[in-house]
Amino acid sequence: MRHHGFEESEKEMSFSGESRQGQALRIMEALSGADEELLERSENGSVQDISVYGKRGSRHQSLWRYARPCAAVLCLAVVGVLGWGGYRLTRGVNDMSSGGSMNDMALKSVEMSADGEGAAPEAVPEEGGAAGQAAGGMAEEEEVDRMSQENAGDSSMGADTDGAHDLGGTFGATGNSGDSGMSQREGDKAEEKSGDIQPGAGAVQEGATESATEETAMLDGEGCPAAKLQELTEAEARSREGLGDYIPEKVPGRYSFESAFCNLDLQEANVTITWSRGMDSILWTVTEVEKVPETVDIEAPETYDRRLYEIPYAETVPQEYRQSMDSPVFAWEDFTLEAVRSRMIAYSDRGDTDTPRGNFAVLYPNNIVVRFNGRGTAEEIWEMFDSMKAAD
Amino acid sequence: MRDTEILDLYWAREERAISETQLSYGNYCYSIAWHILYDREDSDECVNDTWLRAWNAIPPKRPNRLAMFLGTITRNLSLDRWKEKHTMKRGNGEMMLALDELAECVPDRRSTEEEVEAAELERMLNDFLRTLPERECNVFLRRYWYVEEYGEIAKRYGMKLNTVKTSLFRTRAKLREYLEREGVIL
Repeated sequence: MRHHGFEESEKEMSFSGESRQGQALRIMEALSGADEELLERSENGSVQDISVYGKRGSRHQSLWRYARPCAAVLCLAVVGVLGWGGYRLTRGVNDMSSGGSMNDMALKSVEMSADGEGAAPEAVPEEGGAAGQAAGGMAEEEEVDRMSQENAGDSSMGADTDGAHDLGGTFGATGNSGDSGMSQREGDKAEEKSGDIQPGAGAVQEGATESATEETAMLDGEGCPAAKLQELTEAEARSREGLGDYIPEKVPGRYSFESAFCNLDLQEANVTITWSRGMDSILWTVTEVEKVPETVDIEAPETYDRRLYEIPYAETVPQEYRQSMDSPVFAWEDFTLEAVRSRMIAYSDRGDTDTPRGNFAVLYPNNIVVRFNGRGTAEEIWEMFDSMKAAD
Repeated sequence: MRDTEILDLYWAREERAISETQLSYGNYCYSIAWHILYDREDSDECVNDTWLRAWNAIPPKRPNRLAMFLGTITRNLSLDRWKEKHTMKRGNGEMMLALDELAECVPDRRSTEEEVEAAELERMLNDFLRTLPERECNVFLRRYWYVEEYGEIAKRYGMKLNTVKTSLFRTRAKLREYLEREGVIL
């Protein structure tokens, strides 16, 4: 052991060539001098000892025995109350959005407020009222129809997942799902409304309105330019030169093809294909990258293995591993079933399926990157990768 | 038999002290040696050596916590045995032999400077351990003092495996930071 400042001693250590393991061994040896009190405490703090203590003190044991059932009953009661409250709230909101008149909606909201179910319902009649004034009952019906159509897309893809940022650029902007399509139409609708309000405006103003319409149409829900996507069939996607071979032949049971497209905004050749199974979905993107991404070191699981960390990841994952942990790229020669297992984690989110979910990418020769984001067991996902023509 | 009675046997120089120690702490010491060496024969030898060391040390010593006293001896012996085995693995050639022979000419710093440094490192580690929350400290000691597996520690404290790993990861990071702050270079 040396203190900084003694340069010669540092040289001495490097001369002796002591390995990191050797240095670790010195810490290990120094630990032999750990306080006996601390060591004894580590013996006593164990679960086994708690149970032993329980045998000695029956009062303690009985408290311990009943505490957990009591806590469980209490939890159930709380969940029940919250569930009932949520159900009432959801029913109220559904009733309002499915054809009741504005007066009914207002009445219901007043009722709900009187029931003391919080401030959230109060926001609903305000929105409904504004919509009613602006567009009337017909517009409201159209809105409901459109929402129901779009919900299909939302429920399958919007439920996902860890690497939402990965999807943002490409998938979030598709016309048949997500916020972007809806907001675009909302923009159009807003345009129509403005036309209604000032029908007799001059030519200059009309021109300005048209350009504003175009601009609005180019923006997604976040106010960002919408991606230009070329819709493809599954067969077309598979036949893409150089990329189609990286689309799996085999998908996990009951998954069915949903969509495929190319993002024309990207300079690099790319194809994305999605499958869904109820609330579960898989997003598979193949890109021929110009700049090869940095791959993770398979020998350093702390940089990519989600199992090593607990939620909230923002607190448990060290700063230097955040990027690789969010979206690791494995080199194809390092890619194993174990690597997939390290990324596919089952979360017990309330109201969600318990299918493991995760995201990662694999860098293949010729600068092909396959990005996976979705749900399935590690074995199923591994089989997908294994079934690619390129894997042969 | 209680610790005080075993210690009395040592002080009375009765050989039964060894068998009683074996009876009370044989498994405990064997477990420590096994976790480090993973070798039945070597572990047995270390445990037997522990009894010999204890026999030579008591009296004059009269440890307050006999288990910890014996455990520390076993651990040190096991670490020495581990190093010995790994050194042998590293070099079987003449070069290593030659170096070992030459090493005899190198003044033994361990007796002076290194002894002091080792004691200083021990003190620092103890200071560091005292700054840790109890559970974190326990987990750290179970892993790096007793060299127990993650699964064993998780079972012992009723924790999830990942929680144990995370706890150890954090503690190692803290220790590194602590040693760097103290300006320690190993």
